[in-house]
Amino acid sequence: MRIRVLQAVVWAVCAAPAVILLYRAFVTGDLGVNPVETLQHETGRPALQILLATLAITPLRRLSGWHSLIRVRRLLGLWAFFYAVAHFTTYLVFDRFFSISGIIEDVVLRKFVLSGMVSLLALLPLALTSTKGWIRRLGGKRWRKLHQLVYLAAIAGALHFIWKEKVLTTETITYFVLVTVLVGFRVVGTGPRFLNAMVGVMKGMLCMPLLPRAWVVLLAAVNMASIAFIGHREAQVVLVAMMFGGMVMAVVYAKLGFVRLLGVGHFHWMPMLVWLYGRLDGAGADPAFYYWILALIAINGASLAIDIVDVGRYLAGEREPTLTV
Amino acid sequence: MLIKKSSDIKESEVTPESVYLNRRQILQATAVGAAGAIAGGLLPGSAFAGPAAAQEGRRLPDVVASPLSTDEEPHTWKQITTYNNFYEFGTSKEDPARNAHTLTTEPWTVAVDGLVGKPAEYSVDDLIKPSKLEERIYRFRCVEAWSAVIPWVGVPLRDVIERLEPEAGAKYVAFQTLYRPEEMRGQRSPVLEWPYVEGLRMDEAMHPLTLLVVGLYGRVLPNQNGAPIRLIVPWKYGFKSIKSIVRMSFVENQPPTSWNIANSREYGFYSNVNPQVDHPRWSQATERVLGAFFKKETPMFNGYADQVADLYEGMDLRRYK
Repeated sequence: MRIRVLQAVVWAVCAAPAVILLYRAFVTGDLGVNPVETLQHETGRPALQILLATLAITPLRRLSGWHSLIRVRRLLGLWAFFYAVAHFTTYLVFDRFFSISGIIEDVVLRKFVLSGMVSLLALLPLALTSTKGWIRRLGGKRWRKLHQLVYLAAIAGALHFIWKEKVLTTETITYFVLVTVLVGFRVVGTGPRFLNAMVGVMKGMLCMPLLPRAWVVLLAAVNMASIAFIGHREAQVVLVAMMFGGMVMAVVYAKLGFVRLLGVGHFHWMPMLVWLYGRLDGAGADPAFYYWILALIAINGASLAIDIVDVGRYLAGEREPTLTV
Repeated sequence: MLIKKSSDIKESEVTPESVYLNRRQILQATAVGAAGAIAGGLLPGSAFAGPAAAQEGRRLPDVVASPLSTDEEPHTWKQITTYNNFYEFGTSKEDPARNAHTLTTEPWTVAVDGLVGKPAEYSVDDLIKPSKLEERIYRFRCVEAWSAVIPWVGVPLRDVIERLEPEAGAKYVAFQTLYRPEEMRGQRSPVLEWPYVEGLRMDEAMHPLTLLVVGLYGRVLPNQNGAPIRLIVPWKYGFKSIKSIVRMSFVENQPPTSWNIANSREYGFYSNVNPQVDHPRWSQATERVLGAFFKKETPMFNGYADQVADLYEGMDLRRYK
């Protein structure tokens, strides 16, 4: 029953951008100052967003254990394809007016168009083979192999958005980072082992006594705040550093369990602290950003000190799991 | 029967543009509301509307029409004030309309320095006053391949420069935008190097088409369009027409320009509108006039070739982008 509700919600959320666009086009007659641009943004953006949601299904299932989530994946994928086709149609009609030579020129000369086309063409066979009949015909293994094209579609889609803009914007970077995380998640952890290790690290941290647990939450919060400042180079570096640290810890955990050696997941912060300190001068214009950098340096610096001690104790022979309640 | 001559009608009796536009909008909104109700629409129209048009400022006195205007139909006040590239207030087209109200434009001074006879801090009035304000309806072509027709009010930059008495060694004019991140929230992100800087060769600056703009539709320039004083060079891509100017420097060497610093492969110093030289990532052969669905061909120098082509005689425009 719960899955029916979820499917209904997915339908409603996915249909909303199209309903809003149709309403603006035919009821209020207000598609903004540049109507074609509005049509292109408001079909392209949901295509990418829903594609990301599709990619998030498997990690979410593994993390939450709610396996029936799989039953909305095809729905999401088809909605993403629907918006991608609508998006392409605006280009075909309003930018190129069915000119095949014009489209070929764009694809050959312009990586921004090429990436969009790659993304659409990668989704096409997935949409066509999304039925149960096709899964049977291809066999689960071959079907899954084919459907790995979704990663290509997502990466090309995120690049398409970045290359369309004159500068890197918060929005385009955010999508690109999310795609990298979701695709990276699969590439690094081809099996459930990596994911299990990630979950293991998190569970281990949540089982620590109150004080260290609170500290870890604070650390995560300060580092995650990079999303709020994602237009800044500093925030982008911190986000990547976080992912890197997580991967290092997952690898250590998979091999050795919840041991003090996990502290190495913070070691790359040594050069980063120096670099961030050097960037403080330039951060003065925006107080919120300035204090965030200060907080990053203070809290990651303290964590690094604790981690160095931990790693030292591990190397000195303390092999038992780190304190747990 | 007493028939009033047009000059007898007091300004206060004339329906301001905003009011008659509003009337139309109200009528439209009513029709739309009715249609929406019939259609059983559950969605409030306002939830998806863009930002509101800029408030109309003071009407500028004694503006004369210029013979250099195009006879194309200008875009509306709302279109021109709600669709802007002004990264100092954010990178989306609607950000300036939403965020530019925080900018204080009074008091305002423009520093004039470098190789010039009368260096000083000038108020906007002192800088432009001796010249007569002109309305010039110009085509405006953005490097992003959209375009508009805009009724600017301003004075020829040439007149201003002549009064400042540049020295013979001054070969370029460099311009700088205000840097005030407290009021210009876009400057808190490093999307470009702040402050924004631009420049023109002296003969470009002295060209009769080049304008120092202080108004739009006969009224003071709205903040989102570059108040209180901006440049307009109609044959170049829009980003050359620097906004909210606080400094004009007369220099010997070609000055740095913001988009060229950000990406020298994509944006050159000259940045003349040229349909034959594409942006590395998109075509410049065509443009979409704001509001239109289909694209039209972009003319050389944005249609001002007759007046400006000789400035670039003998220059390879593929090289000097």
